[in-house]
Amino acid sequence: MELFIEGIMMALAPHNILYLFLGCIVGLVVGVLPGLGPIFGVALFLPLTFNLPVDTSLILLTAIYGATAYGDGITSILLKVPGGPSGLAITFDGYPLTQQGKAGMALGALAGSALLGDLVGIFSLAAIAPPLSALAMKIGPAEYFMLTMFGLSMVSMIGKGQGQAIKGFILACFGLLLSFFGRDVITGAMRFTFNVPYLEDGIQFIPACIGLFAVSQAITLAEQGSSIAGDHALIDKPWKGILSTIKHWYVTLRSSIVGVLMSCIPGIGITVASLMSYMVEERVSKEKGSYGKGNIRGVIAPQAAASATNGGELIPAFSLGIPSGPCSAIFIAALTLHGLQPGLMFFTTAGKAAYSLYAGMFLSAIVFFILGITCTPLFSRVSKIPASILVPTIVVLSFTGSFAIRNMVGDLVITAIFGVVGYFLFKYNWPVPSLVLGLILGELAESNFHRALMISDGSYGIFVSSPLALGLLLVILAMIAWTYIIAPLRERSKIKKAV
Amino acid sequence: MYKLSKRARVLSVLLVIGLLLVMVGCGSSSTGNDEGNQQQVGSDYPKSPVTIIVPMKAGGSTDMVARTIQPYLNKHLGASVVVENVEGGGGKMGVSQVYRAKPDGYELLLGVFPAWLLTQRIDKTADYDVTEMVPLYNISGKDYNALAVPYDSPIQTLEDFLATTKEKTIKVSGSGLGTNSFLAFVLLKDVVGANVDYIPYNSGSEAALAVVGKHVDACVGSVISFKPLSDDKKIRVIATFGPDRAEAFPDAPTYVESGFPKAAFDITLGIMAPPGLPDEIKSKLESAIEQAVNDPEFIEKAKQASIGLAPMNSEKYKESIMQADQIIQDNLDALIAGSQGN
Repeated sequence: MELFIEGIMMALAPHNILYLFLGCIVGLVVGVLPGLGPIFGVALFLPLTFNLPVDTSLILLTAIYGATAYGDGITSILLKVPGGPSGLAITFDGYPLTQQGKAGMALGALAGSALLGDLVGIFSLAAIAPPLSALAMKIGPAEYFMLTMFGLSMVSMIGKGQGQAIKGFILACFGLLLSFFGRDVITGAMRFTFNVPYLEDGIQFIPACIGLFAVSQAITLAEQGSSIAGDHALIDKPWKGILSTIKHWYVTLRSSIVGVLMSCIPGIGITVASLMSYMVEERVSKEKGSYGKGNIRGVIAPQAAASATNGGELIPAFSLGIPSGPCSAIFIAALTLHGLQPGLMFFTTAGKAAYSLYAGMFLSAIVFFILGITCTPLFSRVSKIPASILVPTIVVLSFTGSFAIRNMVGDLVITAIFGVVGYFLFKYNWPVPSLVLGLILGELAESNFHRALMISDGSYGIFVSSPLALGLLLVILAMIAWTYIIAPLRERSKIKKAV
Repeated sequence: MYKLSKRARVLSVLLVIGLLLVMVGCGSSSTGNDEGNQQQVGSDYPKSPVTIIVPMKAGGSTDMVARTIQPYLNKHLGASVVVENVEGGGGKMGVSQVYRAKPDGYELLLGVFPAWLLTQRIDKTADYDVTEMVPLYNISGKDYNALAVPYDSPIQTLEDFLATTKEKTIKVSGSGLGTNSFLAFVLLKDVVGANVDYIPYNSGSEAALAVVGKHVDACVGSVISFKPLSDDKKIRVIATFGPDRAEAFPDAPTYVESGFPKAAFDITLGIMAPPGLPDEIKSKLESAIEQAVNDPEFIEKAKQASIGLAPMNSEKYKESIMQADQIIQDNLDALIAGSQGN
């Protein structure tokens, strides 16, 4: 218990608070930049931590992560431009809300769910890390494959809900095709590289996303000509939004849990976590049709999941020493550099440092929440800025962001191409998120399918050999059956009864 | 405000995008470092920042070595030293960039062996030859690869392992193809002659997790990455691939002492320069790095971060690179066969 108090005291030390604020501000700024998310922010500031004591380093990095995950949602709501990978799912309902003049409320919900999601993540890390990391260990290639199938099956089901099943399916397959570009990790074969060295690493997800959403949106705005909220009066009520996260507490909680689970499994990241939680909410809701048109829960769900990954991603990192994503790899690097070893020993030998980290995470969540809320009225004015100013700004920021990741011109070309593609897809009402899901899940699905078969020496039985894999398969089949067979039958019998 | 037609507006945005691309494309074709272009041979070197290119992502254990020594290089070289990450192609982008940089001492490479040689020899699209580059000084080594099994596996020793392979094929996970652990696997399969199958994963950590979760029977990986898991009793290291026993696992025998002298290699991390570096600059750098590596503060930090030190001057470094190359050449066919169409 004293360790706990000591840890909090440590986190409250003046220089730690200073770095905490710095981290939150940096995070908000990086978040607002299109396409750049927590990974970019954390990687950027890693060098700074080398000369800082370990507790300060961890607090700085986690403050950046949490604030960026929240900041990514801001432009997603206001401009339909994802501020980062997690911002994608937030554009679905956040932007329609802005168009209806309810940007303030959406931003409030964003802040609230960011705070609450982060807290769930911290709790999971601090209190239930061991059982969660035990779960992470049970996920082998067969289970990963089933998870990706689960994600992909949701794509077509959502499409069905909005009458776009076939289009969604086509785009998801196209996304899968794009994910195959590059060198295959299992066989080493080069696919679709056309002898261009740049393509060896495949179509990079973030530049493609920036193009598909940010640049295409810029083009659309240019076409439209006016400001985003148009003539709607601005209903500036962040408090209403914050309260909605408590009113819909089950959505917040459920999504945060999805976020924690997804992020503690290595290889599944913040993007998949936020997309999955959005899709899960849509599926279990009674008002399926309202998603995509400005349902506040469509903002709460992805943001809660995204913020929960702050703690979630560190679970296997701290308890096993195995990073579940690039961010946690950086956290582990910060630990090792200061002579601390991740693993069960971390909780005993590092004791104080661990508690100061939790306290720091908690404090930084509150800080970015307050910073965000106070700036919200300012932010929502953005929806009134005329397109002639917004468009060039978005274009420049998008390309800057895309280039900043790997300093490669090829990434810019990808952004440009996908920008045009995205523009046309949105114009003709094709569900672009399906393409994104195919792109992001493709590599995970294929490599794990291959690995599973290598381990089982070609036997397909491996996909139903463990309770987890079998369970997932049954859930997928059940959901498909429901969506395509049972629900339509019920509809038909309802109509018959009415007649 | 003058409002253009819809079509004009869309076209103007596309035009801007196109212009931006052209500008950036032109701008980046000139290789950076304009200050270092003056070919004043060595006398006033270094007079501007020196960049060390690390051809991998930030935050990995390799990257860490560069970042740990960076402040000490700053101190002993008398110039600002910057670490820059250049990802891509499994290391090819970064190595290629330095290979073709001006040999003026302002752009250096973090040399990782045998990794960079592996990519060069196995991958036909590598457009560089690391053996032509100038090895300056080696920093770290003794991070040998090791073979690990789940802690409560029936296989407890190397003998158990070899006996089991006579009955069935053992699945061994490792990080990717053309990597250090892949070389370890090939040595296991061809030199030691074990009946094993390789299951490539995207990274060393995922490969290690696979053996912790018992999805595979064994794993090849580096000693540094196995230590926390071994301490937590999740895995057991049964043999190591170094010329000597690993400090972290004093009880694990090496393949060398178990009767397989050719199944040994070291993983070294050092600094290299582009081919054609003038001797004056080379000796300045060599001595600066030597001082940094022997700096007591650095030694302390390296110990804290579990970085094994293996200081080698330019000549010895070159020898060790040649030795690594020899091992690769001896097993080249197996390496190439294994990395294509598994």
